[in-house]
Amino acid sequence: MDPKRMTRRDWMRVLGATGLATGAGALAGSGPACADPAQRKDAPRGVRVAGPDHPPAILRDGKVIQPERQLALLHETDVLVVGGGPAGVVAALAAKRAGVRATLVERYGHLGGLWTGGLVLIVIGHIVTGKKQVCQGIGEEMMRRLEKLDRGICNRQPGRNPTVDAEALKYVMVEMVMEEELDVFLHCWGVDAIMEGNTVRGAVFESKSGRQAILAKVVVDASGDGDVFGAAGADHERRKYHAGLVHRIGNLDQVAKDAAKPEARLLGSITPVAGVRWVNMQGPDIDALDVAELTKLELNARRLIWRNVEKLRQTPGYEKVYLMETAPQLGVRITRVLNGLHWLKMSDVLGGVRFPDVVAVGGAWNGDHQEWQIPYGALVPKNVDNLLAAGRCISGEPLMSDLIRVIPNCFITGHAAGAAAAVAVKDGCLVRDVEVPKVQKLLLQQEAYLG
Amino acid sequence: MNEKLKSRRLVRTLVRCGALAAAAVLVLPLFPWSAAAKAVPALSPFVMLASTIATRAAGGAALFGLPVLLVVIARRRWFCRWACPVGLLTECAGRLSPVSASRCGPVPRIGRWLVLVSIGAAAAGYPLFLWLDPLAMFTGAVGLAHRPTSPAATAAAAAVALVLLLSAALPGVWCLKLCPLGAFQELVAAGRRWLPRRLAVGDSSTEANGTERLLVGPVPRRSLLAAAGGAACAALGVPLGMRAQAAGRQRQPRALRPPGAVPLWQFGQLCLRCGNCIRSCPAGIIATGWRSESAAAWLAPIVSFDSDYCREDCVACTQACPSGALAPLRLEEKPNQPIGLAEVLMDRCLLALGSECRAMCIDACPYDAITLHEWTFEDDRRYPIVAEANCPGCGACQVACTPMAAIAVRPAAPPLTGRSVAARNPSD
Repeated sequence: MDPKRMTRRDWMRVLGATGLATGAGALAGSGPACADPAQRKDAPRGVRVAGPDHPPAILRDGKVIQPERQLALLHETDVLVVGGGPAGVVAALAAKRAGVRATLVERYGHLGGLWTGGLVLIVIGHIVTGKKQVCQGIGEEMMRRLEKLDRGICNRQPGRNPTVDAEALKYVMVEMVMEEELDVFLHCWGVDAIMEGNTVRGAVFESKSGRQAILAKVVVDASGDGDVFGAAGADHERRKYHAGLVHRIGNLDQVAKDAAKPEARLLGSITPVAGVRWVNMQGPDIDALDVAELTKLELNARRLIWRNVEKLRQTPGYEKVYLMETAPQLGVRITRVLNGLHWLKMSDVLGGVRFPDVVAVGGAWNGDHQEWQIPYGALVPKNVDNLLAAGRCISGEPLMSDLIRVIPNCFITGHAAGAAAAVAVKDGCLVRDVEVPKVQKLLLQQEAYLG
Repeated sequence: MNEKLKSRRLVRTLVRCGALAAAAVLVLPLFPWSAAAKAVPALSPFVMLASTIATRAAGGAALFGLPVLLVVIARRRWFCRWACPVGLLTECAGRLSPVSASRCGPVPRIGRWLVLVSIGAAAAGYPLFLWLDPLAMFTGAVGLAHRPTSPAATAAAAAVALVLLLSAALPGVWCLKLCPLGAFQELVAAGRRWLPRRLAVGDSSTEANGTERLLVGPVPRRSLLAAAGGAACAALGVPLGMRAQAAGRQRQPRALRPPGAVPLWQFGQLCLRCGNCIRSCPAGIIATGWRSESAAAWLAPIVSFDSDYCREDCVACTQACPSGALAPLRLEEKPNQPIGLAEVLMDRCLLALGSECRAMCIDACPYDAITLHEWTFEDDRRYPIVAEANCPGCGACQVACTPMAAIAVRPAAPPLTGRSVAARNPSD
């Protein structure tokens, strides 16, 4: 017996019997969405304790069994966005600005995902031939806000790939979600989908508060790894890809003028902060959904980074350079990829194929080719309802992975998913039945670019 | 009799006009026959013989030149009289001129010596003066109508214009004294003199030109002397070719040449500058080589991968080449005829620098010749590696790597043997 299946059935029962009552109580208790979850009366808070409501896992006949139990309802919302990276934050903001309740849940203590926590500071893939920037909307608004901050962003000239400061961006995102009074849960790891037949009704989260459920009308999977659509049983591919750990080095403004020239890859690239550079790591090909492989990579990467920084410090003139920070998040590039209603293909990119249901327009890595369109179907699962994918896990062939996974394409697909989810909630329809022209209109109102 | 002569002239004029039009139509090419452009310059028996000797390989072009060779042996200057498009033009230029045709009498027969030296040098793989062939010039000049135009076409058109000006100034001087194709026809027709005389009588003098003096009247001593002089002249060409070959082996090619190109030292001379390869390339990557490694290779075609690459499904240029400067390739032979070799510039390659890169070079390579150096914790670098044996230098990777330009096709080192064309086609 698959323990996961058992749990799911368990939740179904929970939802059927008491979930709705609890949800209604929660709504009555707290009123409209609140930006500060700690103020919520309905949120069951505190550490998990063993008791009749929380039976621990038990060892029976050498097998670890998770007893059936009812999950506490953490929250109920219209649009639930799982994952607070560039796709998730933009999706939640887009839905909230469209006038529906939106909730953003993030596994780490900050927003921005790999853009900030992964130290993927460079924004690649938003420009096309002729230096035109095609990735616009809320992601572009973030970069404009960064411009107003000292050391927030550099290389913002047309046709260039800008580099952001991770801390400045974390701050900008916090400002934006708090301005919109978005419901945010940090330190909450989305671990399962809540299903009613083939329809997603919410997601289950693990946190210090234990295992809790959030119910929603539409769920946007912006987890990067496709954790929700994977759990919901949506058709998808699982890919091996290279992953690495990025780091930042400091004191480069104290390098002697007549210093020797170190190996370029040890020096990395500039950041908006003087004397600080970020250093990428290509890393080995791994299955980044395998915790053993993730652990091995993280351990070895730290050794390697230390070794490389020492190598740099041994270069005459670079003695004062030091390892400032390793990325809080491992740089996982591609894992699960949705097999959705539309399969993005490189031949369509190169052929400049246009789609009537375009909801986002992607760019080129170095502005060396034309813009390409992402149709709505690339976000929609084939066999699961009321779920949308956003970010690097949207539907596309392996050749497309490198175009889809970059930061700007994550924030534009997040924008599209958030807008579509809002339209579905307002119209009370399934996400697959959403009127795409309404989504396009909303996206254009929110200053997205659709070609 | 006079009436008969008049009508014969009319017929010939019509045939010549038709030949001119047909040649232009073939070169442009206005109908879908892959060998059409090649046909016109390949008809020249001079080009055919010299290139066959030089490459030690009778390419498909010999099919055009060989019948013409046989006819001009039997009928003196038959090609000039009935088919040559440049001949018709120079004659018109001459008729417009007030100068009398007899004025070119004292001009020495330079064309003959050019042909003899050229054939001799061809024996050493280095056929000089092929580009002076009127059909090659004509083909190049007609190419001026093709868009985009190439400097080679402009140069050929300038050469034809020069020939016409010369013909206006001194009517007949080009055709009778300078043209290597005309001289070649006379030389092969002169071979008839070694045959029993009755075969040579049929050619009674109807032309009012000075050439028949050498042909009419069997003077064995003069013939022997002429033959000896010719042989000596041809022998002079051999050391010229040997020297060029020796010098060429030392010279590292700087430019990329189209697929199937013979070694550089030979290429510059075998190439007629007819522009066929430039016009035939569907990718538009072949251009006139302005800056060349040597004077001999000036204006010969070069390949550049600025906008497109040499397609894996195409051998059009090699099939369009009339002289064997580009060996006629079959598609399956093409990978074995490298244009050059792709080289990763490690100081520009984003992967080698540790940055993010889509590694488009790998996906772009039609021959799967590029792989990634495997990243390990011991050797934490990931960069493209080109498998030399699989890389034909098609440039697909170079096109894919814009605007970083971190991978580029470099010309291959000069081959050890000058007879590589023969080695490439073992069947010949």
